[in-house]
Amino acid sequence: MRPGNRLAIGMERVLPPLALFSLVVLLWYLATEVIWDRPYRLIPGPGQVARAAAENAGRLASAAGLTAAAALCGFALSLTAGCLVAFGFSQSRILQRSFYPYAVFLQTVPIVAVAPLIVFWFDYGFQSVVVVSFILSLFPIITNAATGLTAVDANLLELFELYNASRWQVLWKLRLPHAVPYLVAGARISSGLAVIGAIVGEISAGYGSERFGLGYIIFQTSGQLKTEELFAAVLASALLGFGIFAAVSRIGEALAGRWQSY
Amino acid sequence: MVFPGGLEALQGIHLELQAGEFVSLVGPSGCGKSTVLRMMAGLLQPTTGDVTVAGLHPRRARREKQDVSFVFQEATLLAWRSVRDNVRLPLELRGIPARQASESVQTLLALVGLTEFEDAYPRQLSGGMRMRASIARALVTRPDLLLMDEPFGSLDEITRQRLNEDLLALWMRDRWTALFVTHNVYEAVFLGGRVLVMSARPGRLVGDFDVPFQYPRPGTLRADPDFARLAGKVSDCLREHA
Ligand SMILES: Nc1ncnc2c1ncn2[C@@H]1O[C@H](COP(=O)(O)OP(=O)(O)O)[C@@H](O)[C@H]1O
Ligand SMILES: [Mg+2]
Repeated sequence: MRPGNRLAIGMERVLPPLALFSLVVLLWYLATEVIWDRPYRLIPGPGQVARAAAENAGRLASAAGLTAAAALCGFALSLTAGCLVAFGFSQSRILQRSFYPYAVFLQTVPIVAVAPLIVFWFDYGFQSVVVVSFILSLFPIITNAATGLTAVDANLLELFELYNASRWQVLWKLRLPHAVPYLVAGARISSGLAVIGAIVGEISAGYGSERFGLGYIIFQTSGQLKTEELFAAVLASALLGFGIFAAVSRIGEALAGRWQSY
Repeated sequence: MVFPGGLEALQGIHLELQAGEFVSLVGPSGCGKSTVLRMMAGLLQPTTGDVTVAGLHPRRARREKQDVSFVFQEATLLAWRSVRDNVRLPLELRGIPARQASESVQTLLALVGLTEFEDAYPRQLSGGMRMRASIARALVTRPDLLLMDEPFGSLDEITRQRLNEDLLALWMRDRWTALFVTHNVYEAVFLGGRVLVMSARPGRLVGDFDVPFQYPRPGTLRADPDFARLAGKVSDCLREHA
């Protein structure tokens, strides 16, 4: 592929969402700062949000950094624990039957309801935020990795049996490599959930006031009706989530590129 | 053979292969052809009766001499391995280091015409080339018995004919015993020194035809009136018991 081509393809991918973004901002601007231009508004205009973001840039950046750290810790824990649990599931039917319902419970439990428990066990602060992020991002790793380890083509299993492969060889040369693209797909979903988890965690089990993340700013500014700053914090959260998701996707693509099936 | 759940797949199958023989097995789909192959490979236990390979239980034969290979209907390659590493897999599973395996792998790649594509991944190959890789993988252990389960069933006619001829050339070279399952009568007659016909389920052996044409068989054999006559007889037998 010539570099010019590659650039053109890159533009093709970037331009449509950029155009949509500009359109939405324009409509937003028209609606809030031209058509419905009142002194008191429920929705601030894009200009005001930008100003609030600029004024609070330092605060937002350090908050985003802390939220990112919590999300990445939660994600790393999910990745580790999820792979271990999935591995256990793939090795034993009974293990899978007994634990799977509780894995589902992790996914469906309203996190706000268990937040007091988490605070009770782990105290207010970073570690509790990480736990919430971990709980919210664990499930896709478990299910995807477990599927990848078990949903192996029956003929391939027969092929390995035919050559008298040991259980270890089946695991190492067939099941684990087969699970890689599944795990990558799970990690993509999980990374986004880890960011959501960190923000929810900060709201429900937040930090002391001297160190705070984006979730705390969202909680605080919404209470005080500082909508401009609230919007700026929400946008920062979205950017953070997008950034982490994009990074994980990139790494995943690089890892699983040659796994594409035929 | 009765599967758990009560489905009777096979009934009173008696079949013997001579060493070095190429036998084709035709039958309507669902009649139990794959089941026969899987029993011969020791992947499945018959409910009654027994199967022996070189006088041994198939699983023992496999463990002691490892002389049975299988080609599935799909190429069943590992998507994340290059063609070379796919072909090397059986040797790798036996614990033979890559360097030591390299000569056998290269020989087989050359024989199936894939030397140029040894670094390619399965998704980069056509269906016919994937099947060649699958055959190379089956032969890399120098098996005594090769079981093939409709390996060319999903290929276009021209590719299938090419592969039929190339398969016979490989067989002429090493003379493994071959059991080739197909639902294509012409393919069965072109390849086999014998053609066995199975009835619809529960599968029984209802025909055993000698194929008198000398090996090596040229592609032009397919236009021979005697070839057409024999294929017609096999078809009749198949239709009668479908
Ligand atoms: N593991 C199994 N359990 C139950 N029934 C099976 C199993 N494997 C195959 N069968 C059934 O046995 C019959 C023969 O199957 P198969 O040997 O695959 O036929 P063929 O290869 O001739 O198309 C089919 O009706 C199939 O549904
Ligand atoms: Mg079959």
